[in-house]
Amino acid sequence: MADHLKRQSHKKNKVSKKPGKNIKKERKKGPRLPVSLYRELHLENHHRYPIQKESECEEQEYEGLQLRNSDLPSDIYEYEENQAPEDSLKNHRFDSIHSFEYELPSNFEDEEIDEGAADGEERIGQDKSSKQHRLFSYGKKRKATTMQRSDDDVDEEISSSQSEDLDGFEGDEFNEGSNDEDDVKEKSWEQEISDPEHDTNIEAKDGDEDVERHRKTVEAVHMLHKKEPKGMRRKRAGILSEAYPESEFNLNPHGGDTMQQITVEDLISPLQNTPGFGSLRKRVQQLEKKGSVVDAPLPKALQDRLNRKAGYEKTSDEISKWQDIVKRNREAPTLVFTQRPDLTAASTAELAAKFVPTTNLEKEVMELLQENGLVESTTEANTALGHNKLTMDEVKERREKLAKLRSMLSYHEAKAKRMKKIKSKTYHRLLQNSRKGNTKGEDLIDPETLKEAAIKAEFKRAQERMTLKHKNTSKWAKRIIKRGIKAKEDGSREALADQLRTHAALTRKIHAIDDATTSEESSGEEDSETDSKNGLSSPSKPKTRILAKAKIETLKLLEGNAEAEIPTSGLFSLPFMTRAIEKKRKQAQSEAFAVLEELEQLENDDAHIDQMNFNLEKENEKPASYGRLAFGDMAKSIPNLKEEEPDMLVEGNTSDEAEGEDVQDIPEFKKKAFSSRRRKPKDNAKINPSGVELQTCEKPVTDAVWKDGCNDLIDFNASVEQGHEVDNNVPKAPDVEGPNVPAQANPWLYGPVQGIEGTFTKEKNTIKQDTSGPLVVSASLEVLTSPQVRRKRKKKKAKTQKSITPDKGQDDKENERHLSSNDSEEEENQDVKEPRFQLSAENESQLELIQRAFAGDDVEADFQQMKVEALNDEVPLGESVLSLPGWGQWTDVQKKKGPPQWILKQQEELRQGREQALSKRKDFKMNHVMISEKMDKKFAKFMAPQLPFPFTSREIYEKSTRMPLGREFNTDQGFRDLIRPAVLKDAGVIIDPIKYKMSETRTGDSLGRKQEILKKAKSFRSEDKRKRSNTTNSFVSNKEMRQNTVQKI
Amino acid sequence: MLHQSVATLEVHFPTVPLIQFPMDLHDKKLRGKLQYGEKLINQSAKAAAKFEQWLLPSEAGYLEPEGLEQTKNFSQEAIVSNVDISSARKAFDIQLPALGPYTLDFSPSGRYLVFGGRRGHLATIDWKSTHLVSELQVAETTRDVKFLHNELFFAAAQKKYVYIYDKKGTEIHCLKEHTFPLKLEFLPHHFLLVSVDKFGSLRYQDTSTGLMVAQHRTHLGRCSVLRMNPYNAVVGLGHNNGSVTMWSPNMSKPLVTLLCHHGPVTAVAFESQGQQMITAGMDGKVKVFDLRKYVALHAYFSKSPAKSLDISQQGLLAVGEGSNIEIWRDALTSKQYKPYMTHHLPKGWQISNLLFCPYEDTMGIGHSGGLSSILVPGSGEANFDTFVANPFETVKQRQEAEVHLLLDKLQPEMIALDPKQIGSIRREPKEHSQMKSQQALEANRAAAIMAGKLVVVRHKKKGRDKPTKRQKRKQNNIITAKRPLIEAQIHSKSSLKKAKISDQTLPLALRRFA
Repeated sequence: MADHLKRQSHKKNKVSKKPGKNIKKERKKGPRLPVSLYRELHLENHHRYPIQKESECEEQEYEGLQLRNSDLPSDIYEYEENQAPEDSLKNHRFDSIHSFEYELPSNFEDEEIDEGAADGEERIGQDKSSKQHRLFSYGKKRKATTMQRSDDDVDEEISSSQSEDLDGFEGDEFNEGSNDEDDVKEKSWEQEISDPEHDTNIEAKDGDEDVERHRKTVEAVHMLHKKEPKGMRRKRAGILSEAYPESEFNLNPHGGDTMQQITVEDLISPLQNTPGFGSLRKRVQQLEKKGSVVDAPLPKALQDRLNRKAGYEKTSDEISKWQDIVKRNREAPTLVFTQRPDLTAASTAELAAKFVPTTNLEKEVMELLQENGLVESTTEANTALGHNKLTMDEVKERREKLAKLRSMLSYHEAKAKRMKKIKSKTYHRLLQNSRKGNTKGEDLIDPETLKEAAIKAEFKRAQERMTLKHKNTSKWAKRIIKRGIKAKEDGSREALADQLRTHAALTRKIHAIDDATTSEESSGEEDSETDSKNGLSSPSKPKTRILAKAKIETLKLLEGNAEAEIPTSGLFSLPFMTRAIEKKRKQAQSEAFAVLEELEQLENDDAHIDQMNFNLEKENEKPASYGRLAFGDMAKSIPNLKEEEPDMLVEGNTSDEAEGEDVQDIPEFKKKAFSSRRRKPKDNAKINPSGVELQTCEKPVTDAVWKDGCNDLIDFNASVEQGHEVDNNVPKAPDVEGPNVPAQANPWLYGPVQGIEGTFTKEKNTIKQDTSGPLVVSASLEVLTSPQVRRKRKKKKAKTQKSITPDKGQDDKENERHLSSNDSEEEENQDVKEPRFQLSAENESQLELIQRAFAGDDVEADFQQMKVEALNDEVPLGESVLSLPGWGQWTDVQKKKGPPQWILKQQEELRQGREQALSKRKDFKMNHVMISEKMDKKFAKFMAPQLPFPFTSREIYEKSTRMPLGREFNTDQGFRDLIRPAVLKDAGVIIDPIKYKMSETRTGDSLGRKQEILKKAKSFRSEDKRKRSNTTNSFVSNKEMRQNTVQKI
Repeated sequence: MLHQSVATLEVHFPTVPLIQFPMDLHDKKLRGKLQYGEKLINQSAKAAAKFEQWLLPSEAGYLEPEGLEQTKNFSQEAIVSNVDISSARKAFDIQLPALGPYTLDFSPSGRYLVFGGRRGHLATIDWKSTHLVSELQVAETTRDVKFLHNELFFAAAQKKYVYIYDKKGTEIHCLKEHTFPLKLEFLPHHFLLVSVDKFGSLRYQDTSTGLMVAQHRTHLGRCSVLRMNPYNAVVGLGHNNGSVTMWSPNMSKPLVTLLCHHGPVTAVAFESQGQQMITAGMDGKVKVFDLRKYVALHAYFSKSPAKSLDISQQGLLAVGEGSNIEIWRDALTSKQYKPYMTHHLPKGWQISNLLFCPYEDTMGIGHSGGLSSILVPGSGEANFDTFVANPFETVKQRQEAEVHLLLDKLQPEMIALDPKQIGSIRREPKEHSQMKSQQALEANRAAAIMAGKLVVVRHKKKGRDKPTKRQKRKQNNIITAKRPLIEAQIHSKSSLKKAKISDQTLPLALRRFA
């Protein structure tokens, strides 16, 4: 406060110092701006022109309200130049000399002198406002000033002395004043001083102290000054800060030393003499002792914010505990709010215990029962239940048992694991052997046992051969066979097969140990088998082989005999023994020679037979059109034979001979070969049923329409059979040819019986009884094809007639079974090869005939045409301008140029577009297929127009609908699971709000998860066990199954 | 139906693994749902597989040769002599040589048989007991007979029209739209009677409502080969130009046209799963087609063209030509080189029709001498599902089944090549979508103009309310209404252009800066 006063005086001094400057200024009168506006303006100005303001303020102080527009120079006549920029430190042209030392202004003393005037002014104000007088120390002079008001008040006082207008704006006035020297400092002062609490008198203290304090303040001020922005720098710091002792009225805001901090003590010390001071001090002391100084409450907004934050945390904690429950409920496929009926069935004992006789009859009955002791008391029931309890020992025993079992299991487990790890093959083989039977291995080693076993086996074999015990001779087997083996009686069939197997095993001859010979033999057998299969039927071959073998053996023996040494020592070296040996050897030799001779003779015989067979084969080649065919290796091996001309046909061949070799490598013959092979197993002697019918084959076929032309044509089938019969039973010369051979009945003639009924009669005339093949063929062609094709065909007819000549061989070919299979590729090849049609009639097959028949039908071209039309329809070439009338047609030159370029370009674009569209079609590049890609509008209504909501991709949606949900496609349980609604609720069930349970929260969840894992582990282990014990396996699975079904049903 | 589904599940179970829905399916809820669904499906399939052993006790067996024997050489006499009496009784011949070649059809359960002679002899018999149910002479050419949804009704393709008779042989309907029918087929799930006529017209008639569903002209001439694909109810026709066409009632053009043979097609048969088709042609070939790729898998060559084809429930293929029948096993999946069984009709009787009996190991043959039935071990499905077909059905059961059939009836529009497309997302051709957007745009424009016109033009003070000015204002209203549309169009165009430019000119790495 004192400081302020001093400042004021200082201002006044200034004023007084330059009276000429301001006094000349006139008091402005007339219209003026409102006060607030002034103030605003002023505020602005003093920021801009801080120096000018000083003077202004002074003016203000003296002259009250004036126009204070600082934009204008305060006095137009007296222009005070601002400091030159070069002088200021701003542009740093000179060395910056900062003097932070506080220097008292030179005219300090003058201030003092002028004090009086200022004091006078003040005094006036003081007198006006209040009568209170207080001593106020002022510097060293201890000038007492009466002061009651705050700093603001002082200003107010000053201003109000001139005008009352400013009464309400003391604060602002003060600010104005403060701006004269230093804003910040003033503000700090203001803070301190404006507190009304400090409005008390304080005695001034010593001067030394003051000096010290003063210094500090100045320093602080300088520090503040440094912080100021550059633009706001003061030209001079003409600040005087006094150093009053600390008091409630003059508090040191900065604190400084702890010694100089204001304490409560300091504050209450002035109250020492007032009544009640003691109690106050006591309370203060107590407070200090406790050391709990309550902080000032935070601002309301901050408090609220903190409150909210804390509340949020609390509630989020509260809510987050529900999170798991909510999540689970959300994820649950179905929420169930149904009443669960109490299904715990009451036992009879329980019911009996609860029973209380009510009616008289019941009571009577009860009495009677009780009398006779027939009623079990409830206590009895309870005791019965009590019996179920286990004693401690029992429990222990059980536990031990279980533990033992468990340990055993684990032991076995470990063992199995170890065994499984062993990778050695030999080990496993040995293990397997040992499992099969430990004795076997020993048997193999021990010759004695081996022998015994062999004898045993031989005996068994003999027994089996005698009794035929296992050859379905039993009553049971006979019965089964009689009844017929059916698919359903798998068991019995298997048993029968088993018996046969045992029989076979028992009666099997015990082969020599020499594997090589047996394998050779078997291979030889196979060879002969295949030979016979292929119709080569050379029984002599194995025989010769055996003979050769025997020969070799005997020769060996002979050689061995010759070279054999006579033992020189031991028993055998005795003379009589050697003689005996020699004799025996000679005998053997002679015998061997005899055998050898015999063998050679036999061999010669065989060779003869072979020769005969060979001749036969050659003869069989001649009728190339029938009989068995050869393919593959065999076909390759014999081609040379084909060239040889057959001499004669041997009559009375065996069936094998009838199906003699025919070497053909042309595909169609292969086909026939297939069919002929299929026929082969058939008994030749057996007469085909249709063959029997053959004799009456002239009788009309039942088909009504067919009947007409039937007299002329012999039933193809019949002819086929006839041919076959003839082949088999009545061999005839291959060169027999004649018109009486069944007409060229083409099998495919019979196909369209139904299809040609209309047209057949028309063509009937062309078919004559006498005509041979060609005419019939042509007729059939006529019949088969549509009129357009027929027209085309007519041209070709002549050719075909020429080329087809009736031939016995051809007939024979047709005799073969007709449905034969072959690689389609081969057929395709044949389709492609045009020259085939030019082949001679002898080699012409059925297939070719058919090809010939449909040769005129260019079906593929027709189809292509059709496809092109359809594509034109489905993928039209867009509309384009072909020509504009009159455009480009005026001159010949234009006409020659053709349509303009842009039209051509447009057309080209359209064409390309169409080609692109065509290339995207499914049937693009498929020459034989045409797939319509028109949209099926009627079907489209069963399709979803767009993706349903939660889905974002078509693939996922279509995957999700891939399995039908219907009852027909799922089990009952599955169906019900699949269609169960999200919420199941029974009528009348009240849905309670969810209750919070610890077990359901996360901890509970984790517990549950643990349990689950444990369960899984358990089940896994049990499975493992099950795998190990095969016997229990089926039982368990059955049981499970039953349970499952029960559940499901 | 359960067991059938189980059967299919059995087939598909290993091929339907649990789908792992991609993790980039960001919608957690949806993913969870789908995964749960997958789990259920998996469980369901497993459970169904478990049920199998309870519900499908019987196994199909085939002829088994011993040693050098071959099954194709087994004669019917041998087979008959080796089977039980009840089975042996199923092999028989009915000799009716006078009324000439017979066609036949089995009821869905395989218990009843209807047959019709070319000369108008129609009869139904109880197949198992060989008890004659009804017999009648219509005294006109009868080309085909067909049972409807059960044994109570059958249709006959007679000389001029298709007639429907009931069990007793009473004529119920004369379908005069079906003129000169040659072949009949019945689609049981759709209740559609299909006929093809002398002029190559295909007709669909709903037998439950009596409405004519569709009439298509094939433009391929006379057609007497008609067969249904049991998988998708698409009908296959065999034509004289060697092509097979597949039809649905929805489309007036064939869905697929396959060029199968060089000569006329004589017979067509479809496998029950709809994956393979067999055709026989006058060129003497029997071809197996894969219907997924429309390519011929392999071909068999028959010397005389096969007249009739059929595939049994267990996948045996029967080929009838002339008086011979060959039955092939596994002939569809891979090429076989010898038939499983062969049979020759006595007396040179010509086969006109052959059909495997459902749920029985027998085959019915209609031929020129009457009817024959032969035993074909392993041809029929061993386990029947009473929800699908019950050979031992009582009257009550039949009545209930009929109601169920009607309730489960499928609409004729649902016939398409891929029935699994039902419920999938519609993929419209570009033109369709373009047209639609164009239409929408135009509609919006028209609406905008209308709205602009409807804005009331207020009267203004004098001098400003001249007719010209009023007119101008009206025009202005319309322009302002149209403006946003036009702007949007321009914007979209420019953005398209921009996109194009950025796509074309900039290198890939720089496109994101465009």
